Amino acid sequence: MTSADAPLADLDERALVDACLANRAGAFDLVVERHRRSVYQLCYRFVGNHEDASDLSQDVFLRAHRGLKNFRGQSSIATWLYRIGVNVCLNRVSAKQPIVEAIDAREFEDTGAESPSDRMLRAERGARVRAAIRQLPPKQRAALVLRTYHELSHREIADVLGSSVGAVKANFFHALGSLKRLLEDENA
Amino acid sequence: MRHLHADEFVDIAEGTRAESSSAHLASCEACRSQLADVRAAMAAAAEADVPEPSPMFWHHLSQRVREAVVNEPQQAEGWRGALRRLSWRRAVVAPLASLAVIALIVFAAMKALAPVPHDGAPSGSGASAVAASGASDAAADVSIDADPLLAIVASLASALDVDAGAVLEDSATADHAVAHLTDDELREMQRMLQSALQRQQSGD
Repeated sequence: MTSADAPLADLDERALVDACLANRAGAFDLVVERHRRSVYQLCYRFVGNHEDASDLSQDVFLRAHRGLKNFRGQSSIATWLYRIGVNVCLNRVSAKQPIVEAIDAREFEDTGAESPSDRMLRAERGARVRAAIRQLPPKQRAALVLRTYHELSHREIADVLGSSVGAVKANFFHALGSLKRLLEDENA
Repeated sequence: MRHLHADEFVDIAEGTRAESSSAHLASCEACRSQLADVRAAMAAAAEADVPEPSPMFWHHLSQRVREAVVNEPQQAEGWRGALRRLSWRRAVVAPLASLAVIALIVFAAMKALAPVPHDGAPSGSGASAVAASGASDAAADVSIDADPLLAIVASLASALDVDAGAVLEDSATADHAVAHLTDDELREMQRMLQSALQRQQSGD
C-alpha cells in the first residue's frame, strides 16, 4: 500500500504534508485537528482573549497552508506551526494594544473536583500570571511560553525564534525574573 | 568568585544539571536565592492554564480554517497573485513571441508599401500594383525562402520553444499588441526594420 492509499491517520508527518500538497481530501483538516489546541493556546497566551486567539489561530493555519510547499521536514509540524504562530502573534501584539483579559474567562475552566472558591482563586491567579506574561518583551515572552506551556526544548525554541540556544536560555531566565517582579509588584 | 550564568540557572532549575555540579552554588547565598526565585517563577508560570473554550469551538475553528483555505485562491488574486502565477518562462517568452509576430506583420506591410528593387532597376508599375494590392496580399506573396530577412524573423519565431498561440491567448493577441503600441514603440519598430532593410540592400 502506498502512502497515497494509506489512511491519513497512518501517515507520518512528511507523508501527511505531501498528501496536503496533493490536495488529498481531509489531509489539511487532519493537520488542523491535531494542532488546533496547541496553536490556539499559544495565541491565547500572547493576546489574552478568546476572540483574538481564535482569529490568530485561523491566520496561523491559513499561512501554514500557503507555506506547505516550503515545509522541509527538518522540524516537526508542531514546531513549524509554532514558528508561524509566534510571528503572527508578535505582529499582532505590536500592532494592537493588548486587551485586558476578562475574569469571565474562568467560565471556560475545567471544573474538576475543586470547590467554587478554589476554582475562583486559581482562575484569578492564572489571569494575573497571563497578564504579567503579556507584559514581557517579545522574545522573553515567546521563550517562556514555548518552554513552559508547549514543552519545546531550548534547541527547538531557538529554531522557532531564529536565535541560539544560549540566547533562548538567557531570555527564559530574564523572563522568569521579570515575571516574579511583576507578580510581586501587583501583590504589593 | 564567578556567579552562575543565566543558562546555568536554567539548567539547574530544570534539573538537567545537578546542583552539586556547581561548587560555587554551595558557597554563594546570592546565587542560591536567585535559583530559588527562578524555581518560584517557573512554578507560578506553570499554574496559569489557558481557559478551555467551549467544546464546540474546536469544530468551529476547523470549519473556519477550511472555509478560509477554500476561499484562498480568490483572496490571493490581484497583481501579486498574477505575478506569482506568471512563470519566468512565460514572462520572457510572451513579449518575445509578440515581438516576433509584430515584426513579421510590420515587415510584410512595409515590404508591400515600399518595395525595394533588389536588382537595382527603378520601381515600375508592377511594384505599384503590388503596393496597391494591400498588405495581406503582399504578405502572402512574399516567400520566406526567397527573403533572408523574413527568414530571420521566421527563424526567431520558430526558435521560441513554446506554444506561442497559447501564450498570446493568455496575454494578448498580435493585433491587440500592434494596436496598443505607443508612438515611441512604433517609431522604434520602424527604425529597426528600416535599418534591417538597409543592411540587406547593402549586402546585395
